[in-house]
Amino acid sequence: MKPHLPRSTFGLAALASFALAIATILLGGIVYFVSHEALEQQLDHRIAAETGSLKAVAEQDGLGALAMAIARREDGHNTNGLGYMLFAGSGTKVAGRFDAALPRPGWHELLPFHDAREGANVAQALATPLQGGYMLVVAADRTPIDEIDRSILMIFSAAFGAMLLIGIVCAWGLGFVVRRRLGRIHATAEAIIDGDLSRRVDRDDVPNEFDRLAETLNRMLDRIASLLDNLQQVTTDVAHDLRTPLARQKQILETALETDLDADGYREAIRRAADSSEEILNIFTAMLRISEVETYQVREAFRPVDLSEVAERVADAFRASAEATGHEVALDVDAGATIAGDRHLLAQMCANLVENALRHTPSGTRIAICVQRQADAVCLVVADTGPGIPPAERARVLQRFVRLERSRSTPGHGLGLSLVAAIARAHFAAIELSDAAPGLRVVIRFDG
Amino acid sequence: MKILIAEDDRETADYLAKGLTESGMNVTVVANGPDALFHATQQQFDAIILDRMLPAIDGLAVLRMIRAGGIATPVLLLTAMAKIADRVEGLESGADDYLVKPFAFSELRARLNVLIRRPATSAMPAETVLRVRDLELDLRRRRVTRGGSPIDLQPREVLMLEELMRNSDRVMTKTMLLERVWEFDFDPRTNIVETHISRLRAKLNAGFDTDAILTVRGAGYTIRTE
Repeated sequence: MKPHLPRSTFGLAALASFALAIATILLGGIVYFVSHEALEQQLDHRIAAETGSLKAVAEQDGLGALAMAIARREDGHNTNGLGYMLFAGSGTKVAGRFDAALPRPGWHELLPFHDAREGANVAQALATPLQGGYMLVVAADRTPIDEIDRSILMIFSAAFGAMLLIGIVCAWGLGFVVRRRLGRIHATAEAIIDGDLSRRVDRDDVPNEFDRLAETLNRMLDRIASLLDNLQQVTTDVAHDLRTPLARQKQILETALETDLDADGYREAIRRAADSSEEILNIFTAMLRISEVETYQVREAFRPVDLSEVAERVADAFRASAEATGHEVALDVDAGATIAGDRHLLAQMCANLVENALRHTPSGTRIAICVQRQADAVCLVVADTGPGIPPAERARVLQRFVRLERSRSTPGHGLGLSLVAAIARAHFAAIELSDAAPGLRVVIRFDG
Repeated sequence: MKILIAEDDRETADYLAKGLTESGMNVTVVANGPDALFHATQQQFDAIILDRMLPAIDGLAVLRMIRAGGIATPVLLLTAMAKIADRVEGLESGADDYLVKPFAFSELRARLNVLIRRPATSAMPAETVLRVRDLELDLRRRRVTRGGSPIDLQPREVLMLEELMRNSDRVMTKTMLLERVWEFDFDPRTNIVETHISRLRAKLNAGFDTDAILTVRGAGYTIRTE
């Protein structure tokens, strides 16, 4: 199996604290190395400076004076942590209390010596040959360096341990808190899966990221619930609206079966039954059209459409039929009002509006179709001088299967205006129903 | 008339085959894409009725392959869905016409008759004047005369008459006229076509004994050459 980084909260927090601990070790190493080097250099510097000054004494005043100077420094406890030795050419130590064997000339990092108090030890030392085969050794005790080294190591070891400990506690705590919060969301989701659609994720009093997530999830759940409600409503409406023509069809067919009729009588019964099927199919066609338009896939096929031409075509198509029922169709379009859209759907939208006006207004009503080009929009307006729709019911008539009480007796399935609304939405257009004083005015505004 | 029916739904295929055979057509029925492709490329048909959804090779794919093979036989595409995108796709793939299930047989027969380009009884496309009996339509000047006397028609009435004259002796259904004259791909519940036909008829018949446009009951309208 491919190794992978931990993904649980606990794992991630543990990984983060482990990384911090590693960083502490690295930092400790660097501090140790830098301070160690600095101290050594300082020590070397002191040894070199002391050697220089003692050498000057020997060259100026002779070896005797040098021996005196060493003795003076040692007696006065003025050694500043330094030890001195002066060897004669024969290798015999002639001055200094520092206790070590005669070293070779030059620098010695770790010169073994014997300390009166602490026994065997090592020192930093510089052996300098003088005139007459003499050798001056200036040594410094490394104990301070070692002590500082040790305390740095101690501090960082402690810090590393503390880091690991705190990390583990934090990882556990963080994991616990996150798991508990997610657990609540999880429990809500499980309850919803089990059928309790009214459940929502608990909210906090103080804003935080969990609360924001809960809020978003709750809004999503509200949306789903409203869609489900809508679906439920539409299903009920479909069932209800299909029931009527289906029941009629059944009744026609059963009556025909039970009655002795002549050929024409049977033909008439079959024709009426076929009309009912036609009505059912029309409902299906309208519903499928609406749901297709509502998926907005139609937008992919949008092309520039001359809305003026569409309005003219629709007005032309309906004028003759309108005149036959005593209606008047008036057309007032600004030329060349072009929008992006589907010309068939736009024609259907316009036709539905005109048909709606024709169906729900009495003879003598004037239906005006206007296309207006405005600075930032194109408006399609269909207004009639009929009875209009009360303000309270205007929003409702755009919903599926809604038919106002007074139009129950007229033919229609209550889907015409909902298709208009769906087509408008697919075209990013706003639909507004208002009072044409008298009558109904429908304005569909395509923002440019 | 040789017709190829490619339809996997047995009932629909039988219904179509029976109806078309009774109309005096020679019908071959296949039920899947590969068979449709084989017959369409091996034999000469006057028209192909092609279901959009076929097993093995989809109807649209069959259509594209037929067209890619240079076969120009008129194709009437059948579909179970009235989707706008389907319609566009079907026509772009090379279908000559498109019919949504369920449909009346009279609608299918009317469309099929219009698709099958019989030797012109009316006018060649290149001609500028259509003549059917005593009716004349000047295609460029959009003028109509009957028995030599001019008749004043609205532009769209001329268009409707043109469709009827171009397809004389063949039935034009309501939906065909809606599509061709007003470019409506939906069925308005208002009797648009009936009203326009009756107006057109009144204008054409004024002062004449014979009816210029015949109503075919339950099917549509036609102009007879004799």
